[in-house]
Amino acid sequence: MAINYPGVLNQAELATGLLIRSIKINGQYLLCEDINFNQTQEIEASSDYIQGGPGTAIANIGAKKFTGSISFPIRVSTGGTLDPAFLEILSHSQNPVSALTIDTNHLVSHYDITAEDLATDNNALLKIDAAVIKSLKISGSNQGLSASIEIEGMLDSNTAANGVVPNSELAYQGRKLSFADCSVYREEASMRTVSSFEINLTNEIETPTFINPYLPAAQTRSDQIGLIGIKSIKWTGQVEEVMRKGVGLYSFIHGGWMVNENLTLKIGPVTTLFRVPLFNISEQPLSSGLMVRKTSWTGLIAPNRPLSSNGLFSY
Amino acid sequence: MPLNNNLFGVYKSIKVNDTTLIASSASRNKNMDVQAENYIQGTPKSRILNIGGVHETIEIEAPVLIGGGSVVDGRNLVNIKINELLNPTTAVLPLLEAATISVSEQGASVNMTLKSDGDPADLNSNVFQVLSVPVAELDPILYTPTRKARFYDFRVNIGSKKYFVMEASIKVTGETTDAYFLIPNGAVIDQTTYTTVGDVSFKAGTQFPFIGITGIKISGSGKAAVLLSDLNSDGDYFDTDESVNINLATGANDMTLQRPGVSVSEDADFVLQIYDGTNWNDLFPSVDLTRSVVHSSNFAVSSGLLTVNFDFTCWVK
Repeated sequence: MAINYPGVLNQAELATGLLIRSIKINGQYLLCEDINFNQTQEIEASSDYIQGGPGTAIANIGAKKFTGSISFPIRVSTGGTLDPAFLEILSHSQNPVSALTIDTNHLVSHYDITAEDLATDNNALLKIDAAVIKSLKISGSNQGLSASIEIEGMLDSNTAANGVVPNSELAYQGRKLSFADCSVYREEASMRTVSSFEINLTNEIETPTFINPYLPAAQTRSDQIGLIGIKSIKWTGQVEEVMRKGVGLYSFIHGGWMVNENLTLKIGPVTTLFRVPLFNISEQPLSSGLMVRKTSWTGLIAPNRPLSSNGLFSY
Repeated sequence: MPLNNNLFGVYKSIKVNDTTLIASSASRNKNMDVQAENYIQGTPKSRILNIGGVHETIEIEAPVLIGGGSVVDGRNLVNIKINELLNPTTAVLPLLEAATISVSEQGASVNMTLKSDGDPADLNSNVFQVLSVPVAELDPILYTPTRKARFYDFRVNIGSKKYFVMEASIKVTGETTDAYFLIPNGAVIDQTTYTTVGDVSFKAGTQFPFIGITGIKISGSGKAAVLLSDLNSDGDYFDTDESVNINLATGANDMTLQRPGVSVSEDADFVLQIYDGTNWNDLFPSVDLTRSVVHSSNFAVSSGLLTVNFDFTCWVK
């Protein structure tokens, strides 16, 4: 008589290669901690009409797009090379008018007009071929380094997704960068007591929709957003410094800009350079523990600087 | 028991001219001209009232719908009334005073103002009915489920502008004049009997006006995003295909300018259509938008979308 394996393993459904839960950013495999990225759409029902009863009788189906967030470790390979997918993310984040595509093995999408298909019809694994990183956040502290992005996107064409598998075995054999791989300094201070830092790239995005054009040829209709527009780009950062003597008379930031201060944050082989930081006034709360001073800033840049590559990051 | 939903309009349905209509809001407004007048009368108190005619207007805002409810949405009634306005011999009360259909990303709605004479005894004027009957066409099992029409259900060609159009509206206006006649000798003045002269009938000795249609106008407006692309990298947007929905080149103008001795109209028709699953249909099929002039163009430059607002007026056929 067969005896079941004791415990819950007899009900296990073991992972297979088809269950690789990861994504490709511009064709580069990215190991992720969390992927929460979906097609979203305004779908509601309204009863707010003079109609003979309070029931929700009229559907209201608006524009759809992709939106969500991804968090992932910053990795180097055994040869010391930065994760190519992370480089794609850095490159696009600082120059968001460049192309960004996303493939997954699990994100099912619907390309056609939602209102004109039954809710389960015509789903497919599609390549998200028009995406924009809305924000990138890199933070580091003694607890480690982490990175996360927020993305918005749309389907510009009905293209099947590429199967997401690693580009090569070596590409994901390596290690996660730690705080020991980082340094922060500026022209007037070596900033040796930084205990944590944060870099934020914020791209303000607008996603307007338009009425279909009157064309003599066959009409292609879509309920997706009309386009993705990038309205503003902001590069900011923040550091926390442990105060050894309780006060730093000549390193306290009273606010304002510093031309050619070249505030630099190194994350492994990546150099983040704020040439002209516009500082906020430092905050220095008093406590019975370590005294930690918090300083934040925004990078002042030429208006067209984000329209070309390597405006903030170089590697 | 304090539970009483008879107070709420969502439980009601309305009919105008016996046509069922799903509306966001509707109102019937009756008023009578009354003025307190003072004369050299030995007291400041109102001792004399000047009481004139009665007016009745019906205002309706109704959505444009797709599916089962599409036959009882705003465009059905408004098209009946526009047809009557364009062909006054078929007109019955209430008359269309103004109808605007507006299309945007959020959907489409019809706003109409109807005018009647306020005569409660007149079957033709007492047309604003509030009923307890549910609108059957909204039943998703007996009929196709209904949804609001949204941006993907419409297509536009507003003169030369058809790409990146964000909003479009067309307005049909009927101008009317209220006339009050003195009582003809021999007329019956019981407030119900019509006096007929030729093919014209009116009630003598009442406060209810004789309404005549004196003008019909068709106009519209739109809002489009402006696309500027410096294709030849010369720093301007004057060259071919470098600007969409605006023309910035020297000598160019976005209005339909006239020439001496010539009546110039827009090169392209104004089209506002809705898709029915197979074909595109004009939202106002009886309105001719083929001859028009653009008479305003407001190019707005801000840190957001570049937009142009424009207005047009049509010749009415």
